[in-house]
Amino acid sequence: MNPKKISNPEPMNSEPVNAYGECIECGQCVESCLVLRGGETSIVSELNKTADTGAWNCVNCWKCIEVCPQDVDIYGFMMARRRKEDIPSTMRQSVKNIMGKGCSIYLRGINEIREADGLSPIKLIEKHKVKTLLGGHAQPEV
Amino acid sequence: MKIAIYPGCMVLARFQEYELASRKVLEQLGYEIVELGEFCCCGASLLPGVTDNWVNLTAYTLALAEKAGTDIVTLCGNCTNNFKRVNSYFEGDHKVRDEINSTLGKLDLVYGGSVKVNHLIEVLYGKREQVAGLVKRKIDARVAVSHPCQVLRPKGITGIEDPNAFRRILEVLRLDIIDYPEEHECCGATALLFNEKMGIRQGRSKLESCKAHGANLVIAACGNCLFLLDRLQNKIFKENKELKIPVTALSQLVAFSFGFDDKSLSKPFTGSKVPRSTGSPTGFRG
Ligand code: SF4
Ligand code: SF4
Repeated sequence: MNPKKISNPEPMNSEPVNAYGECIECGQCVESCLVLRGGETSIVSELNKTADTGAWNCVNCWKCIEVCPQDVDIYGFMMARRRKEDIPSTMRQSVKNIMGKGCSIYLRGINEIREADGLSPIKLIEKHKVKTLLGGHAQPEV
Repeated sequence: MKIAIYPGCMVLARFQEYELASRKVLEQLGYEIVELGEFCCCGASLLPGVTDNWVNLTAYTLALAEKAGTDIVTLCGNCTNNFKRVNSYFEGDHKVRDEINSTLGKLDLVYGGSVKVNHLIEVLYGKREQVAGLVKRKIDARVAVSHPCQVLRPKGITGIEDPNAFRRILEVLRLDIIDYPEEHECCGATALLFNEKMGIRQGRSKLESCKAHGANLVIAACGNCLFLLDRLQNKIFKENKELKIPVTALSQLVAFSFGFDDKSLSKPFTGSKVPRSTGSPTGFRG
């Protein structure tokens, strides 16, 4: 395990350990990024300062992290930037579902389907537990 | 050996056949399947950045598994990555470990970091010899592999050294595997969340390339890849239906190789609002 590649696990709202600091601007992350090739901005565009937003436009393929010769903490940088940027409207419902119900997808009727398939029924985590786990942030304003 | 299957939301909601086939395959390999009793989000990639407390959701499932004395096998990329990331916080002397446990404590749970999480690819890769010995059918198909990004990268989190682990499993099934340039590229499923057009475009270029390079079956090992590459094919190939290609999940293919012929392993999921695009997922059965 390369500890440099672990995002800063120290709490919460602090900046990542070495984001950007050791970047030598080699551009390899830019070349590897699918989202940039698709014409959107991504966290890589924020890293190379060609855009102010893009942290949420990411397919999490982690090619950029893989190719970076400097082990720049791109994940940590992404988390720090995400805290400052708005969640895209298209993601809000899924985020709401997770924060409110503990699952991003609506699962009504799932156990009938599972039973028909010979799979054991699933019990979704209770809402009050989700609330406790998320520090009382259930059903946020997103 | 005990193992709990964590299907993840997408497989849970839409790919029962993938979960079921995984179960059958793991049982054949000698695992005893344990139920965790409750399903909770893995802390999906949507959540980090919204709240730093996402780690508690991930740790909740890990704590349930630890209590049940079982390791976890995952079927999706995002869950795998999140579980391993949170586990990595329990390896060193990270402050977040205590924070997680103080939250879990409110629900009378504790996590010590002992649960091993492996994606199905890793389990089957590690048991290639045993898998080879269980093969009862040679499948006559030319297959293309779609590697799940988040299972493999970044190496510092996933711990997977062989980027072709998925391929190695298919090799022991004695399948005819094709090469195509986009094999290790992201399928684009996650892009559906912020730019649907981009996701569809990416999925389309991947599938077209598979076909152009001679494949007649695509194998995936992630609910999100399956969602885009299989369930959205009607959308992807709206104008050119002749380009459609069957897509199936790793364990469905392995189960079929092992001789399972259960209809439920290849059933179309009728509950889905998105029409199934390719009929039988084991389309190679003709
Ligand atoms: S992880 Fe995100 S930013 Fe990095 S290469 Fe992939 S899409 Fe681009
Ligand atoms: S690959 Fe790493 S070192 Fe190179 S430009 Fe990107 S962040 Fe900087």
